[in-house]
Amino acid sequence: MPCREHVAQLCQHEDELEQLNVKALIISFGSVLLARTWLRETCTPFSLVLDPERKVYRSYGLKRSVLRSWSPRTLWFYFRRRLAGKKSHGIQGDPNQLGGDFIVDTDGIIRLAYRSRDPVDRPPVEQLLDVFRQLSERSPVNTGH
Amino acid sequence: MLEEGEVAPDFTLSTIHDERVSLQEILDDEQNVLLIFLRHLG
Repeated sequence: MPCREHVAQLCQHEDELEQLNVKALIISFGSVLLARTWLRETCTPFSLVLDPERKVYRSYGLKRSVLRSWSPRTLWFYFRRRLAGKKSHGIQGDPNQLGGDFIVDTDGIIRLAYRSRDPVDRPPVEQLLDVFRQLSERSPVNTGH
Repeated sequence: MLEEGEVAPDFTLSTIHDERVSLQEILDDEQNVLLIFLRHLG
């Protein structure tokens, strides 16, 4: 699913993420104005930081791909959305940049590295929550809540 | 390519409110981190 819906789904689990001692950080490269609007429309509790030169994207191995960004699967997904009458938000920035999700534990070790194969590829939210639940069982933290 | 089990690269970026955030500072607070890299702001 696209980034916007992926973040909105994660936002629905904000309470559990907090209980699991998770800081969610959204990373993008667009303008501050667009980013503020995007966050307001998607999930205000999460923080959004900007990587305008995409140095962090590259350090995490996230690539650009014209072929993957405009794959038949992606085009079909957006075509079905239009048929279903869902709103199109347009493209704000580089449409060929691919995204991904990473989980970093309290020791700074990567526990999940999910690089999206195409624009509609994201890990299921339950998969992310399962990793955090396992981390929590290994090292329970008193979050004071 | 960076894989699971490796050390996450540290970084410092600015929020949309112009506050600096670093991965290491979040880790120093003993929080797990979920990094969600967007494609774009569409």
